[in-house]
Amino acid sequence: MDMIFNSLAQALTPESILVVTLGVLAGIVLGALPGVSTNMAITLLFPFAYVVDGVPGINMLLGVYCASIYGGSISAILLNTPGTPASVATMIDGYPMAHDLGQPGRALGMSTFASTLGGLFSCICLFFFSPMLASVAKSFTSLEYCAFAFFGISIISSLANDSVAKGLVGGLIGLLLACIGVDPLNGTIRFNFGSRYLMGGVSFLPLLIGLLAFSRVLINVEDFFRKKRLNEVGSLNFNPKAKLRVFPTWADIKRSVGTIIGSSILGTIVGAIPGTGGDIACFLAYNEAKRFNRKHRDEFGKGAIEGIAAPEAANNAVSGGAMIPMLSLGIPGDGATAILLGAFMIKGIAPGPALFSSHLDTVYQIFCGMGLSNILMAVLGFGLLRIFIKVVCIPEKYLLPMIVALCFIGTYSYGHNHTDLLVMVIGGIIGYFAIKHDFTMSSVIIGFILGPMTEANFRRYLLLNNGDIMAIFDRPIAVAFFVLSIITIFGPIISKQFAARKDKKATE
Amino acid sequence: MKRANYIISVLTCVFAIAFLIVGKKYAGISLDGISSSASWPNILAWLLLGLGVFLGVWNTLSKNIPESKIDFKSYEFHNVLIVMAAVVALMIAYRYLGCIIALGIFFPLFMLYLGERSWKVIVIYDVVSLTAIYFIFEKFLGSPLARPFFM
Repeated sequence: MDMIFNSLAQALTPESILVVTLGVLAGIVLGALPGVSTNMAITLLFPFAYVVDGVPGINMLLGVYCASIYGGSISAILLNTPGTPASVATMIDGYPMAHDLGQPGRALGMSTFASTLGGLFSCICLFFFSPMLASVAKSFTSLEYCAFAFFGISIISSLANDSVAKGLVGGLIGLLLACIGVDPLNGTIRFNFGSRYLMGGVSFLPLLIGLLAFSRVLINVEDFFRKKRLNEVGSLNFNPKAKLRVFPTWADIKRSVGTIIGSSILGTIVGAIPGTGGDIACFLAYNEAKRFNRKHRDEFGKGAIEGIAAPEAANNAVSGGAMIPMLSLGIPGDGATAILLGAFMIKGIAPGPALFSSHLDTVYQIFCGMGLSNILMAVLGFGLLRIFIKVVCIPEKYLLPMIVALCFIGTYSYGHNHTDLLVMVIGGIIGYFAIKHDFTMSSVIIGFILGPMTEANFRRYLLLNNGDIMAIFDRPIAVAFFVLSIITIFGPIISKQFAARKDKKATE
Repeated sequence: MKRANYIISVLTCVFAIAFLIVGKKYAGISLDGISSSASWPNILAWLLLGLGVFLGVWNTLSKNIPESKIDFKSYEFHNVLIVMAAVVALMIAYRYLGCIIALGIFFPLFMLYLGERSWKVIVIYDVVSLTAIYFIFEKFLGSPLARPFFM
């Protein structure tokens, strides 16, 4: 108990609160901007967190993570354009409520309220379930860790857009890029292709910024010029100067509290399953809310308050859920948690059972940071909503130069090395063409982050068992995770085949 | 996208083969005699090679390959190429002129290119952004920005 209070005191220092507040603020703003995903928001602010010492830097990124998911709902409700993929379901009822019913404040207020409750609920689950999972994992050997890492890598199959094969190619490229540099077991410098820069391996942050942020800038530039050619101008559907009630009414809270609780549970469970994410959780929660709501079912799609509460509670609950396997086993649940895992490693924090036994204070500080992020999200969300509404309307001609600048400054701040900038630019250009050809950049990042852990544990296991690969069958948990990984890899391929056959039969 | 898929397939195979060839150099380096520095990369490279070949074969056999999402002749793509070139130029300027001067030139040019015509707005944006960048990174976070060659 003392440790919890000590950690709480450390997490709530003025400096720490300031850093998390800035993270939450930036997360809401970036999440609200259409074209800036949660992954991109975390990537752009990664360099700031890198410069901030210790756990506050991590908590800042957690603030960005939670807040950017919420921020996505602002543009979904006001512009009918989701800020992040996790807000797509919010558009279904959010936009009609703001546009057709003329109640943008009611929609935004419920979105803030449901997001906060969803986030806090998942945070409580994280507090209780991750230490339990970590204590179970304490007895695991290198083989189980290898199986976990392999399972983490297998989620790239679910993250793949249209082509699972390309998702796997991306993941393998990430794994091979991670092999460049120092051999984790014997310290040999390998695959540096004669380059002195590559002796330490490919730098993580420049690669991350290039693949996730700079590539998106190029895609946004393309969209900008397409809109310009077609004369498409996005506009707000209400007068920003009009009076806006941002707090939900008691009647709305009473009407949607059951939906929020149910969706929070669903979102946390979905988040804890690697390979899923906010986009899946929000649709699941929306459908369930509609199915269980007999009284107001007809209002769904036309501006039902539950239609906003359900996806927003669920997508924010995903954040805490995804942190459970990430913190206790070191398995990232989605692209965003993979980036966070990278941030943890750069900060010298290795998620897994060992973290719970040797650095429990750090774990509690992270829990506190996550809870604080959600509370600050509510405070800033209700308090500064008017400003966020204006931010949604900032023209891209002002945003794009600043994002390019952040890519450059962030990359340079990592190692103060100009070659890092080259890696970032090349990564961005390759990323642009790759995304346009159905590759998912998250798969490359997941492969790159989990590569060293998989290799080190795999080879350690071989060493301990004198190269006997069949000894795997003596460890049922490892076997179960390997089987689960194979199902995760091939599941999307098989389900696509079934869907294609079903469509074919239906057309016949 | 058929042609692009063939190119991706070939590039994937080339990448895998490069790792297999270079990996030969490290195959003998082992402390335990069981796995070498090249064992794990070799497994990955063979898998990647297999996937590259699979992608090529699947591309040949499949009939429903969607159209490429890039129209290389489009107005939008030409603009993306110009921005890529501008960013490469910024990277070079960043090295020799440092962060503040390079971005000080880049911001107005990029904003003009994106359609901003008010010089007042451009100048205010340039000054405010650079001041903010300088104070946030140099003073607040203590992370030095790139210096010009003459400093």
